[in-house]
Amino acid sequence: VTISGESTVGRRTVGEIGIWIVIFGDLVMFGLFFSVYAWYYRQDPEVFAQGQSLLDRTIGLTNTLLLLTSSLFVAIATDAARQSGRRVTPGFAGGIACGLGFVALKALEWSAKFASGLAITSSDFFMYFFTLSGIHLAHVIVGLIVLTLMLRHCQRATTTRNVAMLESGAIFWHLVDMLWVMLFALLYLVRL
Amino acid sequence: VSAPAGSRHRYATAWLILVIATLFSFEVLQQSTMHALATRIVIGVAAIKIAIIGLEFMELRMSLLWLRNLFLGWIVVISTVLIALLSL
Repeated sequence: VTISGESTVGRRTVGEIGIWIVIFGDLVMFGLFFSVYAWYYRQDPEVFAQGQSLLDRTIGLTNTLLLLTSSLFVAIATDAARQSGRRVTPGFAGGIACGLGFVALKALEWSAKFASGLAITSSDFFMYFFTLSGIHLAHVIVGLIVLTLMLRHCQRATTTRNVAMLESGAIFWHLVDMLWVMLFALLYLVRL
Repeated sequence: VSAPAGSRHRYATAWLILVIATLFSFEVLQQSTMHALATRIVIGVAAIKIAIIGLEFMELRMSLLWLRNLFLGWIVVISTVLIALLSL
């Protein structure tokens, strides 16, 4: 029983405490971003809807499926790391491959927008589109670096500390996935 | 500490639900002419998907209750705020 009186029997929080501080800090920050976006969408729905009509929803959908699949790979690899004798590398490699696919599609999407004359200054919608998806893309790139380090790390002996580090990296990657889930809904799907 | 047996199956099931929910949201917006209702559905489905990612992939389902409840509280607050801002 903890100091809060909560039973800990059968319960275990994965990862290190530091990663959960990062996770909740990011959740609060993105919560504010999402709310500001929704507020301005409500102020000028025509401009936002017009901007959305210029997006390729299929790219947004494909990117969502890529990140969900990468999370599945990473979850399986993390689980394998906790159990001796199971191969970890294919899971992390699969997660990285899906993440790279996301970055490639994002680059394709952005370059098509720039080629057609759209930029961050084109409208309020595109200011939020490039800013929010840009901040998220930075998270994806950091996550990919973390996954690559994990891939190298997990080839060494698996100790309790190593497992906690792998779990922390995996948790960050799942955060990247869940933030995109809401961004996809807000940027590509909602209509007023 | 090992995860419970059958965790691979749980992850695969969670992934399948997430994919189906994604395709459902996508189709709802493609087909619907009632944008306000569709927007509420899309935000609601996104909130459920985030909960599944947190509870299953991040393993918050098995974590300390206060941490899990903090996460679920964030989802409830943010989805309520977004639906209110977008549809009221």
